[in-house]
Amino acid sequence: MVTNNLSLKLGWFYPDLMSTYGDYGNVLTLQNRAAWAGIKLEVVKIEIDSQPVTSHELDLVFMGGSQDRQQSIASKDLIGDKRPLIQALMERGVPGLFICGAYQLMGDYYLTAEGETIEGLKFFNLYTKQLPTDNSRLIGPITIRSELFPNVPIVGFENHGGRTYIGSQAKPFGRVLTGHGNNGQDQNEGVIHQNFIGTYLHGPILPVNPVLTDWLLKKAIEIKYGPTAGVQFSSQDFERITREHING
Amino acid sequence: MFNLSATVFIGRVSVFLIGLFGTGRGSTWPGEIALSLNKHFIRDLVRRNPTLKIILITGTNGKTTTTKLISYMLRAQGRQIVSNEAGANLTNGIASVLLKASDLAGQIKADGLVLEIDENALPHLLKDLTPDAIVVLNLFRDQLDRYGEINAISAKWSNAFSQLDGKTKLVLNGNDPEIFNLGRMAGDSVPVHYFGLEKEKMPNKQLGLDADQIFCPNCLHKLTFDAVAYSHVGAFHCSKCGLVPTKIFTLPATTKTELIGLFNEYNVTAAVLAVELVWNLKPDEISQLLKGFKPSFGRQEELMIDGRRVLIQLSKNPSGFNQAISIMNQLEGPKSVVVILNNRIPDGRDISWIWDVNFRPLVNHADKIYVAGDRAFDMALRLKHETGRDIVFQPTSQNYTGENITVSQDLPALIGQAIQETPSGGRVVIFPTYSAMLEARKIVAGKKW
Repeated sequence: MVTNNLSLKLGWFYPDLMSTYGDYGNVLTLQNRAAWAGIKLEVVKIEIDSQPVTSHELDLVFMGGSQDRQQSIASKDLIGDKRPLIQALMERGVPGLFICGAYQLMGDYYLTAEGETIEGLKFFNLYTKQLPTDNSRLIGPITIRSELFPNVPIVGFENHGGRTYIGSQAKPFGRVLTGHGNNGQDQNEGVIHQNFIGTYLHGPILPVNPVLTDWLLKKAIEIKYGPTAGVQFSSQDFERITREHING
Repeated sequence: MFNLSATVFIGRVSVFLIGLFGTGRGSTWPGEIALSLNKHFIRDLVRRNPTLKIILITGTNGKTTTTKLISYMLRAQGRQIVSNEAGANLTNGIASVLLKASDLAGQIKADGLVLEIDENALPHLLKDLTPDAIVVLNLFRDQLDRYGEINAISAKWSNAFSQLDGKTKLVLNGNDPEIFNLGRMAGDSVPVHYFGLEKEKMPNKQLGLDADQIFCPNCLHKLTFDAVAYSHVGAFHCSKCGLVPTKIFTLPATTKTELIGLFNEYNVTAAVLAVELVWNLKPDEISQLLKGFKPSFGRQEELMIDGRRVLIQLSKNPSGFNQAISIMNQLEGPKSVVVILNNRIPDGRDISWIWDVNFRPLVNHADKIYVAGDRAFDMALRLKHETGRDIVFQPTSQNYTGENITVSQDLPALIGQAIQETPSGGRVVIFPTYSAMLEARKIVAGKKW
């Protein structure tokens, strides 16, 4: 269904280790909405032992959430091996989406319930901590308002034990309308830095929020080709109707 | 705190009253009441009946079927068995079942208990009773919003098993790395037995999208699978530290049931190993005892409605759904599919798991697809991403339709439509989540559990 000559490469980091809560749905949605807009999107899976990739080979970045054991394996490789790549991509303005565990790893550090500090990539100005008595995860449907999309609330489902606090200079991805958000206190959800978005929203987030999906694709096209005149994204009607039927 | 007899008495009164008001056989209220009167009710009742042989069954998928298989074989042998067939597998459900089976003196006139137990409730139940065997079938993603993380569940199990003495035999799935690891970590005094399938019966070379535990529980290196039955269940070993399961019990070729699907082979194998170990049943007896076994409601249950063969197959998590779809593909003839997605408390509030189900075979093989449930639109959106066709509102029918897909939240009407639009003699396969299964069954069979 490719009707123009636009093509993009999506770097999917650690699809095996970090893909716990339907994250494949985010990748599938990017592929489909790209295809439905006439853009060819190729998915490049980047694992611990993958062939090295240079920043200029990728136009989009995605990393999903995972369980603690898998997250600690991924974080070692991320910090030890993939750090320069992620940094180059971020500084180039390549759009990226980091969900839950990935979002936490992009921050300064994560303080576990046992008092252990796990270092992050330090690209996002934030830290995450777990309460010593970890019985209270922040779980439930969540709706936020993002400055990127003033007319359309973003909906999802959160499920995290960590409480994240962004720095005073950092920009949240959105403000919480209903739900907990980063820490259940400051009404912030996620973070946005350059064109990288970190968020706790599962759902998964992209299928039911095409405005965000299309934003990521548009940004990727802009960085690679310049302004996106002529790209027609497909209807968002059915997705809107789906959101309206979410009982929460 | 009430003593046992008083608790049983009050509990039995409540059973009677609840029966009068017809809230269904699976009611857990009597147990709830008994436990609030005496929080050690289960412990006291079991102590009063020390000769009962107890088998517990847990895991993400297959508990109800495996429990029924074990009960069926023992009853076919003439034994009196108390079991929670209706699937009430939390502590209050178990208390209810035991209450109903006991007299006012707290005596349970039975030879054995065969109880399915919820994954999270198992550690608590082990404080109340010491079973002769615990069958652990598998561990998959399921209701993550309720359970937190899968590793957390297996950690709780491991902890509970470390308190066991030699009386309890662990009957574990040796093809599931996380379950195998429970046996590896259990103390030397705990007898451990593994069950599984022969490698030759495993059709896949690769892990499914719904696969979770693929790292060596010992050294965290990525596990190598020589063959995969489904999801992350298969013949595995670690090429780094050499971890590999040995002595895995498999079914003799002569032991068969009418159940289809690879996951059911695991259920049958587990059930057979359990009765051999706890009840000393012999293999040739077992084949006889399994004759005529029919699965529980909602699990491969087939009903004839208006000349159509209606099959209900519970689909509540990615591996279960994938297996249900593979069963559907083994059926012949025209097939309509009804997918019902709810996200009520028994189903799990988070529905992101539907994106880890491989719907391609369903979309390819079903002639017509109907989508219903509280979250029908999310499921329809999932399928839209499989077919690539948009779904739009039809003013005439007031339904949303796409290519071969009809979406409606009027479940009775949609099931009726699905049955009507399927040629006579054809099949209607219903894939519901748990609460949807109860609803669909009520509609289709006019019966309530």
